[in-house]
Amino acid sequence: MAITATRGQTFTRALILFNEIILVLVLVLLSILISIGNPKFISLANILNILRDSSMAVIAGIGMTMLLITGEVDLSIGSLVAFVGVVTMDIINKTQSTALGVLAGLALGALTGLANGLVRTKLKVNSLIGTIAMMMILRGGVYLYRIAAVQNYHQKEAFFRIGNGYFGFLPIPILLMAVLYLVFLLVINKSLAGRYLYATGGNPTAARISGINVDRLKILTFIASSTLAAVAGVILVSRMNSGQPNSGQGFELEVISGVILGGTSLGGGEGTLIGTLIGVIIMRIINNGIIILGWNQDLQIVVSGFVLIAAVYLDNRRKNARSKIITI
Amino acid sequence: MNENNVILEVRRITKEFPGVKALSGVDLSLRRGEIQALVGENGAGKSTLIKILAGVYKRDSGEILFEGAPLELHSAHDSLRRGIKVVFQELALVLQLSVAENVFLESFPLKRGGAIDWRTLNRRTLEILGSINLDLNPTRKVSSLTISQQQMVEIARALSHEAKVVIMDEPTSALTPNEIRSLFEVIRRLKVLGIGILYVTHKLEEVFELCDRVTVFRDGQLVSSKPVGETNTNAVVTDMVGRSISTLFPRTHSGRGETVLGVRGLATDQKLKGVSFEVHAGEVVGIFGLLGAGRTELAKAIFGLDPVSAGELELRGRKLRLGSTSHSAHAGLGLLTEDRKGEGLVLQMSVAQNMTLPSVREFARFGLIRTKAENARSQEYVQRLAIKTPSLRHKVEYLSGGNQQKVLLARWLMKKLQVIILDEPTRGIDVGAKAEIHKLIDELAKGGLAVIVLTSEMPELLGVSDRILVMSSGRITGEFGRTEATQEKILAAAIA
Amino acid sequence: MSSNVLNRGSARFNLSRFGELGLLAVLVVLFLVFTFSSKYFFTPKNLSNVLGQISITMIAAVGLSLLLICGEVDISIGSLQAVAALPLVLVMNATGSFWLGVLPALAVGGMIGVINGLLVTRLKINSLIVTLGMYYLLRGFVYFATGKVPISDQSGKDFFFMVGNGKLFRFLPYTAILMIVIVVVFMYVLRHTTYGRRLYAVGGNPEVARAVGISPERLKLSAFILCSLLSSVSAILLASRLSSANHMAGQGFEFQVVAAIVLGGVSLAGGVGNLLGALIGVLIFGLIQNGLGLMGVGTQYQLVITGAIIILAVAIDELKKRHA
Repeated sequence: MAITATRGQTFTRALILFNEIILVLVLVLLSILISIGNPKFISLANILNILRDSSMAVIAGIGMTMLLITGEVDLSIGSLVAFVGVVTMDIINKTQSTALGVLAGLALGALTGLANGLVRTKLKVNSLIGTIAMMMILRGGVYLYRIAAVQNYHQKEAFFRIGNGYFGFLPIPILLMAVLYLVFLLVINKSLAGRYLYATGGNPTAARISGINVDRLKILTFIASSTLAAVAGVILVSRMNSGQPNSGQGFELEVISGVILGGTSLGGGEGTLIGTLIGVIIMRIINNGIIILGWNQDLQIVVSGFVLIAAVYLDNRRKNARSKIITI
Repeated sequence: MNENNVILEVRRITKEFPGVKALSGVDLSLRRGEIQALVGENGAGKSTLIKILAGVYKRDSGEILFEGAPLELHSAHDSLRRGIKVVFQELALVLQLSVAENVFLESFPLKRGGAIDWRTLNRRTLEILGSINLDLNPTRKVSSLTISQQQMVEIARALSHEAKVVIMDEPTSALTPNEIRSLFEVIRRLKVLGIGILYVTHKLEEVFELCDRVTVFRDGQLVSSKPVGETNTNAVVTDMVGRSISTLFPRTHSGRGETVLGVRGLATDQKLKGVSFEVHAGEVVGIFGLLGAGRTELAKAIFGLDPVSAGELELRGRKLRLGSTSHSAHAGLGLLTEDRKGEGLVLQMSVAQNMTLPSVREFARFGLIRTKAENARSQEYVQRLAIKTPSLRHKVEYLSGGNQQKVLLARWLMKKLQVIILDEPTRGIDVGAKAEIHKLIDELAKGGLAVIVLTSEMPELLGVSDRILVMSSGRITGEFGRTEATQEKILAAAIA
Repeated sequence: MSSNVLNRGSARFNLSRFGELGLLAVLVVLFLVFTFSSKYFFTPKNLSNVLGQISITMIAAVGLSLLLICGEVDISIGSLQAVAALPLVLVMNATGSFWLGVLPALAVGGMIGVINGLLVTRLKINSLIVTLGMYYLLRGFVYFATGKVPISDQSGKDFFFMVGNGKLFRFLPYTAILMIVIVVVFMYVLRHTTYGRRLYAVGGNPEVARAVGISPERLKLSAFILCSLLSSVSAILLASRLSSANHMAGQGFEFQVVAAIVLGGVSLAGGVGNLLGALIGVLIFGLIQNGLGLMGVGTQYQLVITGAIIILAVAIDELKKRHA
C-alpha cells in the first residue's frame, strides 16, 4: 500500500507542478504569439506596463485566493473598486488630505467585506449569490453617491504618486504589489491563519472539531479580501485621475478567471499565490494583447468569460482525476 | 422446498470493496408470500446485498434468479421495472409532489391529448391504498405526511409497479409503536397478495412478531436461515455475534481517578432522549448500541457539533458551554469522528499538518508556524504509533485507512486533553492495525484521560472497556462493569 | 423521533403557505402606497405601461422558473436579450420582413440554450458559473458586434413597432396578451403534463427521478432551451420598444428576474414554486420600479433594492429549508 501511495502522490505532485509549468508555458507562448503580431509587445516599456496594469488585479487576486481557499468567493469587487475610487477622490477633495481619503476608501472596503461575511455566515446565503447582490447594491450605491465622475480638484502630489510614481525605477503599483504579495505569501504559507484557511476550506467540520472558529475566520477573510480590493481601487483612481462610478466593470471577472486559471479551486482547501500571480498575468496579457493588436476592446470580456468557463471545467477535471488516485 | 414458490434466489454472490470483503458467497432464497428477516451487525453484509438487489451496486460474481430466470440489473430503474422494490431508510420520494404522483411517478395515466388524467390517477391510487388498508388523500403533498405515511406511499408505489419482491431496510427506526402496528398490517396484506418480503432489522422482537423466516449475516456470509418457529432470540443472537472473543486486549491501566466529565439529561431534537453518565480519569467507558441507537448523536452533542435541546455538561466540576465546538475544544475535549474522511481529516493537507491541527498554536511564534518544531513533534508520533508514511509531507489522503486513523489518534494524543471521544475507532481497519489502536486506547487511559469509546463491535467493546453503557432509542438502557458484562446481557439491553 | 413526526403536515407555522398570501398582501399594499403618493400612478396610461413592461419581464421569467424548478439557473438571459435582438434587427433592415427576422433571433436563443445546457449536463460544470461566464461572454460579444452603438430599426415597419408598443382598446398592451397566453400555457404544462411534473421531480429529488427512468440530464437540457427561447421572445419585444438592437439592453435583467421569482416562491434549490407566485413577484418588482420612478427616484435605487431583495429572498429561502 505504501508503494501505491508513493506512486499516486508522485503523479499528483506532477499534475500540480505540471499545472504551474503549463501556466508558465502558456504565458510564454501567448507572449510570443502576440509579439509576432506586434513586436512592441516585448519592449521593456510594455512589460513594465503590463506588470503595472496587473498590479491591481494581482492585489485583488491575493484576497480572492484566500477567500477561495476557504471555499467562498466575492463577485462584488468590481463595483467596490468603483465606489472606493469615487469616495477616495471625493474625500481628498473635501479634506485636502490624501491619507484621509485613502483611509476612507480602505474603510469602505473593510465594511463591504464585513457585510459580505455576515451575509454568508449569519444569513447563510451562498457567497456567489450574496456577493452578486452586493455587486448590485454597490453599483447602485456609487451612482447614488455620485452620478458623474469625481474630478481631481486637490492635485495632491502624494495621491498622484500612488498610481503613477516611481520608487527608483520601479513603478509604485508594482512595488505595492510585490510587498503585499510577499507579506501574504508568508501569511498563507507560514502563519497560523494560513493553516486555518486551508483547514476551513478543506474540511470545515474537521476544522471546527480542532477548535477553529470557522465563521469568524470566514468573516475576517472577506474583510481582508475586500480591503485588498480597495487598495486596488485606490491605485486605479490614482491612475485614472478621477473617481469614475462606472469603472471596474468586469474587474471581478478578470480576477476570478485569473485565480481559478492559476489553480485555486472553487471547492476550497487549495490554492497558491504563485498560481494566482501567473494566472492573473496571463489574463492581463490577453487583455493587453487584444489592445496592442488593435482588436476590439470588447473582446476582452468575451475572452474572459470563455476563460472562466474553461478554467472551472479544467478545475473540475483535475478534482475528479485526483479522487481516482486515492488508495483506501 | 416447492421450487415453483421461490420467487427470488441469489447464489454465491460476492462483492468486494477496496480493503473490505462485503459479501462472500452468499446463497439466499425467498418464496412468494414469505416475510424473511435479514439480521446481522453493522457491516455484516445485509445492506450490500440489498443494494445489489436494488440495482445500485453491481455484484462481483454469483447470480440472481428471479422467478426462475437469471436476472441482470444495470440500474435502479431496471430493478424497479422487473418487480423488485426497495424501501430504503432515506425515503425515495419527491416531497413537492402529491401522493398519487409519487405512486405513479414512472408513468402517469394520460387523457387523450397528453394531459395527465388526474381522475384516473387518483382513483387508481385510492385502489392501491385501499388494498393495503391505507386511508390517505391521494392529492396531498407528500411533504405534509408523517414519515410513517410516507413509507406507506413508497410501498404503494411498489404495488403500482406490480412488484413481486419488496425489500424494507430498517423501516421502523423512526416510527411510533402505533405506526409500527399499521406498517405490520400493511406488510401482512402484501404477504396475502403473494409478494415476497425481505425485512432488514436489528430489532429482534419485530422478527419474531412479523416474520416467517430469519436469516443471519455475519462478516459477509450467511450464517443461518431458519423458520421463526424453529429458533429463538438467543440462538439468533449467538449466530449474529458468535466469534471467539479474544482476550488478548492489552490491559495495563487500572484504577480510576476523579470524575472528569459529567453528562446530565442530554437531549436533542432528533434522537437523544435524556442521557446521563459520568466518566472518570484513567477510565475507558465503552458505549454500545445498534443502528439508530443514538451513539454518534451523543458524541456530536457532547462536543457541540450538533445543537442540544436540554441537559448539562460538566468538566471537572465546571459547567461546559453546549453547542460550541471552540469551547469544547479549548476546554480539552477531543473527538475522533466516525467518518474520518468526511469529518476528521483535511485530505489535501499533509500528515504532519493533520496531526497538529488542534495544537498548531503551540508551534507558533508571533503567529508564524515553526515547521521544524512541528515536524519534530509529528515525527515522534509517527514513530510511536508506527504510522506508515513515506514522509511527513505526504498528503494524508493517500494513506491507508488504518494509518489515517492513527494520524487522527496522534492528533488527539498530541494535545493535552481531558476527555477523548472515539467514535468507531477501528471501523474499516484490518486486524493488525486494530490491535495497535486498542493498545493506544489503553495508553490514553493510562495517561489519565477520560476515554469514551463508541463501538458496535462486541469483541472490541468487551475487550477495551472498564465500564460498558448500552444505548437504545436515544437512552441509556444498561450499565455493566467489565467483569459482569456478557454479550447476551449487552444485546438484551441494546434491543430493549 | 415522535416530535419529528408531529411536526410534519401539522398546523405548524408553514412558511410557504404564508408566503403566497403574504406576497399578495405586499402587492396590494404597494399598489395602495403608490396610488396615494403619486397622482400619475393610478391612471390608465400608467397602468397599461406597467402592464406592458412587466409582460416582457414575465415572459422571460416563465422560462427561468422552469429552469429553477428543475434545479438549475441561468443568469445570462439579460445578455441574451441584447444578443437575440441583433439578428432580428439586422435581418429586418435587410429584408423588410419582421417574421424573417424573428426566426434567426429565436434560433440564436435556442442555440445558446443548447450550449448552456450541454456545458452543464455533459461537462458537469455548475450552472451558475457557466451562465456567469456566458453573461460576460455574450455581453462582450454584443459590444464587439455593435461597436457599442445601437442598431436602429430602419425598416420603418409599423408592425414591428406595434408588437412591443401597441395596445388593444388603447389599454391592453399586445405584449400583455402574449404574456397571458404564455403564462396560461406553461401553467398548464407545469400542472397537467408529465413533462411539467417531471421538472418538479428532477428538481426535488434527481436520484429518485433517475430510479424511475427519467433522465435528469435530458430534462434539464430541454429546460435550458425553453428558458433561452422564452428570453429571446422577450428580447424581440424589448427590441420593438427600443426600436433598435441596443448593446445595453437587458443589463442587470437576469438578476431582476431571479430576484422576482425567488421572491415569488420559486426556490433556488429546485423542486419548489409555481408560475402564480412568479407572476406576483414580477408584479411587485414592476410596481416598485414604476412607483419609484413616478416619485422621482432614480434607477440607481432599483439596483440597490434588487440586490437587497435577492439577499432577503435567498436568506428566507435558506430559513425555509432549515426548518423543513
